[in-house]
Amino acid sequence: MEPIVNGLEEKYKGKVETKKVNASSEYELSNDFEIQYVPTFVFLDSTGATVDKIVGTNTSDIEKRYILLSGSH
Amino acid sequence: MICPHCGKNTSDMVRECEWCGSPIEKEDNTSSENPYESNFLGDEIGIPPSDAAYPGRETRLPEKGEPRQADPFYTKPWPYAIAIAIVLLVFGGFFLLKGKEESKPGLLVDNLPTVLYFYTDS
Repeated sequence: MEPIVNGLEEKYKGKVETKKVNASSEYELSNDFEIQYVPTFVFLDSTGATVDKIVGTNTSDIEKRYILLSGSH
Repeated sequence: MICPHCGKNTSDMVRECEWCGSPIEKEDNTSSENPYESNFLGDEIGIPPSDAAYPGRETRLPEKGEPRQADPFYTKPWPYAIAIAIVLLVFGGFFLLKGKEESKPGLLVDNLPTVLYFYTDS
């Protein structure tokens, strides 16, 4: 999954930020977003509000969200 | 019973003689069906309920100056309005707080939309 995430990060650089969070060490942040499974993608808009959460490796859905976020900025 | 006017036998359930038609005066007040009408029991039985079955006496109305009994609270609209307002406040507050908790602007960089990718080392 790492190469895919790196690819998306590069593709949407300047429009959408990508932050990698280690769920094991960032316990508090994982709790805040109620992370139960990995990998999980949490999408935040420009105000910091959670707009979507995707669990798993469905690349097409993840990229669709990237497109939506980049367009809304 | 025997009619006092014509002396013939007539029913005791009627008020007039079946033979001569003269009115029959009843001596005994117990034949009256409505004790309130005949006042047989006097004032011992008190005021009858307001019911069509007791046409003799009407329900006593409050006298002038006497305070009228207030309507119970559940017949008025304000308790229901207060209850609805409380429910709306509780649910509205819940949704407002929920929206505030989900917003985390501290995680953003240059106010750009952000994707948090949660992973583990294992």
